[in-house]
Amino acid sequence: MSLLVQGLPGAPGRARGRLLHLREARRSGSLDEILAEARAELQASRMALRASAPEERAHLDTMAALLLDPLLRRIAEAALRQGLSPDRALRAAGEACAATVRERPEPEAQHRAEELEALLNGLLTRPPQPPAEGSILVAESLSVERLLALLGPRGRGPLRALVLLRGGPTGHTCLLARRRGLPVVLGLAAHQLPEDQPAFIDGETGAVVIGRSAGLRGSLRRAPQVPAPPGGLRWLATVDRAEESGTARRLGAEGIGLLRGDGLLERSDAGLALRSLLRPWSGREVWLRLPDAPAHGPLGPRGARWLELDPARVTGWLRPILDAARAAPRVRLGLVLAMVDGPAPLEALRRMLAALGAPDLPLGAMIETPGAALQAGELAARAELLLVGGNDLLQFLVGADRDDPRLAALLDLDHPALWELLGRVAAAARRAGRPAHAAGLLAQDEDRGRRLQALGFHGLCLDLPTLRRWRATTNPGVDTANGHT
Amino acid sequence: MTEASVVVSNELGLHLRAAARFVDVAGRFRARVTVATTGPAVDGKSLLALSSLLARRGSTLHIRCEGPDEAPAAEALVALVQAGFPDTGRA
Repeated sequence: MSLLVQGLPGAPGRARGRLLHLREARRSGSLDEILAEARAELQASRMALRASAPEERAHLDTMAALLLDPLLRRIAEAALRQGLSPDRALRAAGEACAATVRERPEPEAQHRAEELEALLNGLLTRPPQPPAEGSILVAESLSVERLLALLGPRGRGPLRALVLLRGGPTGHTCLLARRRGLPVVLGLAAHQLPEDQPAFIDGETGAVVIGRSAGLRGSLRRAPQVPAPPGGLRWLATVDRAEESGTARRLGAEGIGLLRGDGLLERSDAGLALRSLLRPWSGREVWLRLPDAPAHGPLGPRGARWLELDPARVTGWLRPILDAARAAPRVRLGLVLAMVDGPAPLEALRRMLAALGAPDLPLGAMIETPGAALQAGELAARAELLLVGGNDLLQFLVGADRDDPRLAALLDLDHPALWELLGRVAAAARRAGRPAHAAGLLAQDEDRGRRLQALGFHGLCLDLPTLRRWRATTNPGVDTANGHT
Repeated sequence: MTEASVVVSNELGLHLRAAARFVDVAGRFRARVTVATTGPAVDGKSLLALSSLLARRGSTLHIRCEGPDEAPAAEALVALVQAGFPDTGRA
């Protein structure tokens, strides 16, 4: 006997495993016991960290400082005296501190308050037991940090797949799962997924088959669920880390359509790392995006904003790029600027490049806001490429944070307004004689790829799982598991 | 009492991890430490209090230390801020 429940696709891939519900229990005991238990866990996590993880180490140290905080303790003790349980008293103290921050007039106050609440919530919740090997983890929602902790430094850890009851495919948790090859299904209810049952999950279609019936799983496997990938469009790669560059080339990408420079350009050996990354792409194009990490939330300073906020920092990024470009003259290297709000940042970047002796380096403008899409014609007149960042464009178009699982249903990649804007971008690029490419989840889907092609887009930036899948569909002889052609 | 003023020079200002480093250094001294920007002073050994300052790059931190080791405490904290809060994994 088996049962098919239909959710929504989150991240591609198929897997079999046993359903395991993630339970995060609150800590209990006296105030001191709760704090001591959390401290001991932090200490254990810190011991387990590799030396090369300064980010994680600093994160744990911040949590440790919060546990020892005298203000937190003082407010919690006052709440205890009013009759609250120790767990509730600590939560109330954290909420009170966050509320004080939230009242501040600075624009980052809200973000800081949320950061504090999330940290404290993490501290007061017991981490989940490590899942058994072969689990399909079912969770209400899951932060990137918790998923990373479950997956380990590479691969999928003990997990076979993930079912998120709340969350959207453009959220960072799903995107991390995609990169690790972990199938994700979204939008089901907990009661549809009985604990400890064997299940088969299809992240392409959102189907979950519960039970052991091979027949139903077999029919799912045989069904022609994946339409042919779009031909006639250029298949470019999205590359996040240096080590993905060679794999993307072996999988037959025509170039790198989006190389995220965030981690790369602030390394002390940025020039060297960039040179080795460019090596496989002689005669091909590589579009390197200047750092865009949203350290202050999605609406904080990102991408193009740094040109004005900290030009010296941008110059620091440009120097190793130009050195690497000179060392690899056959690579057609271009720079992509994120969060472009109009022609001015492109002109400013062009002036900076001219001052550094590289006035002719091609520039790409990312179209990630409705404002940028509406000015696509002016941007195309000043840039050699228009690159649509579909995930951001959608979240700003509908006004819903893509990392807030409560808003996931609003983030519909088939939203008519999104396609209206995409049509405008393609038309503007065509009039200016410039190519238009698309990146993000929008570009990882066969049908949407064909729609983009019909609009006049020239290329798609594909992540490695999509490149592998499409290569396997069009050329079954390719050993896509290892990326060998 | 030893007082010192120092300008926050790192990109992200006194973010949470930077505040945690500040608390860590302040906690190595017996001196009582308070910090103010433009408003009332807060406890320099409390992450929550420091993070409520929301001090950005370019803000001036007025550090006041009182206690037997107040001078080396102030010196260490100024050096930490001037160095841009190293080892926090962020600018």
